[in-house]
Amino acid sequence: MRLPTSRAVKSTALTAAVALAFALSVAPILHLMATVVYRGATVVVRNFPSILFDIPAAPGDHQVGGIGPHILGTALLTSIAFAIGVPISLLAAVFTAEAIRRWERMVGRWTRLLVHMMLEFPTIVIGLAVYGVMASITPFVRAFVPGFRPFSLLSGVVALVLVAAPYMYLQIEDGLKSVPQHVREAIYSLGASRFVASLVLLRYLKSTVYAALSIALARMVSETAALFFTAFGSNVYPPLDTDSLFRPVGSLTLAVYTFGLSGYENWIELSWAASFMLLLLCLTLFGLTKLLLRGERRGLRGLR
Amino acid sequence: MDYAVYVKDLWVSIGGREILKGVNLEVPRNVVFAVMGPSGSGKSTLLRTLNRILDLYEGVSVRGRVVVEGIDVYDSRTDPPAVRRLVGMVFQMPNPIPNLSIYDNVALGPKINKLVRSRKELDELVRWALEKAYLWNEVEDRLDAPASKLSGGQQQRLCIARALAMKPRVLMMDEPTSNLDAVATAEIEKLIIELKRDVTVILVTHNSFQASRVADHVAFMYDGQILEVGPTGRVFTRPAHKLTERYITGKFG
Repeated sequence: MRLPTSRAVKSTALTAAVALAFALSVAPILHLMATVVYRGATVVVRNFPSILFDIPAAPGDHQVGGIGPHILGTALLTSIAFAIGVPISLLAAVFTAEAIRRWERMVGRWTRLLVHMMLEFPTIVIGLAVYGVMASITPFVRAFVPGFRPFSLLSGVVALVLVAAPYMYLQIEDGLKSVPQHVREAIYSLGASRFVASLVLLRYLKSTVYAALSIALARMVSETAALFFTAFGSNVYPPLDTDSLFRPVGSLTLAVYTFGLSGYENWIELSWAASFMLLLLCLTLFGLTKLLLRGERRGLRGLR
Repeated sequence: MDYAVYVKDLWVSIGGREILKGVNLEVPRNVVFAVMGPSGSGKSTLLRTLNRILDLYEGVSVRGRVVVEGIDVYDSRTDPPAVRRLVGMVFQMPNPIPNLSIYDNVALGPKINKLVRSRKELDELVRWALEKAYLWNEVEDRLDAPASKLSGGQQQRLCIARALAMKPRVLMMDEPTSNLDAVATAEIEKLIIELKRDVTVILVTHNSFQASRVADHVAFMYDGQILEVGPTGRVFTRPAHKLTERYITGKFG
């Protein structure tokens, strides 16, 4: 038997060190996920399915009740904000990336600068700013819409759009800008209008667009700070009427925060349940995106 | 003024640098017209002004008059996409759109400009264009394969087919063979000569031998100006300008 050389020893030692470093860095994440799953899933399973629909029980009660209004609130906030934010960011990205005239290029430069600044704002400041604007326009808007309030689903949606749209815009704009000039020239030389050319380019960038949209969606789902002063939070289902947009709504993230801080055993359990639901939602989104992108990559594999 | 392309006193600057300095050009119909000259002389820029693809670049200013098939290209009422439909373009780098299939690359132009009314018509047009570009026999059994699977020469012929499918009146080619080997180059040159029956071909090349092989008329461009223009035979046997002579005899460029 030959003794291992010093090179082999060094190699083994370093490999072990890297493995250890990896384990150390992944451990907290795994621990976090395991805790959320363990503590949240037990609550959800024990109270399934009523926990998905009920309103929370009174604090200190021996029952937990449910987080129905918060699930509904997150669904409403996210889907409306997504439906508004996606077309805005897509159109803006196409406009500034495919600018031709001098003033268009100028608008593009200012837009990019502004969006970069918006990304740096703490989201709680965005929420506060939306609240400020909503509160200051309330007296005027009430003349036409009597039910208007600054703490509302609408404000929450505006805040979420302001948080997530800059991400989508920058991702898609960067994608468009990175298209090689010869591909862009090929499309335009066929007589494509800017609109048609952008459609072809966006199709070319499908995976970038998917990734941008799903990251933005995950951000909306998991946003908390921007909702404090806007959606405000609510533990009951809003009545369905013409004023539904102007009432405060709950969200899963707000539920995690407020129930977690409450100090009542049954509400803390609800907080874990809400965390678990959030984790589940984000992982599902993540998985879906991976799946979509894998199909895409398979399609592109023939390229090189 | 019955020319395919007519250019009068054209000045172009990009980012404040003058690239074209008073270019005049008259290209008759159904000929191969070669623009030759050393790199950096403004040949590609000249080509890109003819279909306003230069609009895609930043900081461009254009003065002068360009008329293509009767359309005043830089008139404020002219719609750039309308010009580009008349003027097909083939680029130095074979540039099929990589995520589209062979078929879709050729079909894209007719589709977005609504040149066909049915799938059958589109199929026929795609086949016609691929046959014109001598590519049909090589790809007919794999039209759905990604365009990027083709060889360089095939990709360039695909780009020619893509341009032809638009039934352009003028076909501009910007050094179409500079990225190809000798065999592929010979194929493309043969194709260029045949194409002039249907379209006016404007060929930009830095290779004077290529110009002498395929062109009916040549222009010699140097430092943003056209120094000499005339029938190929005359320019190559009795060049009027000293620089032209030095260029075609390979003394510089």
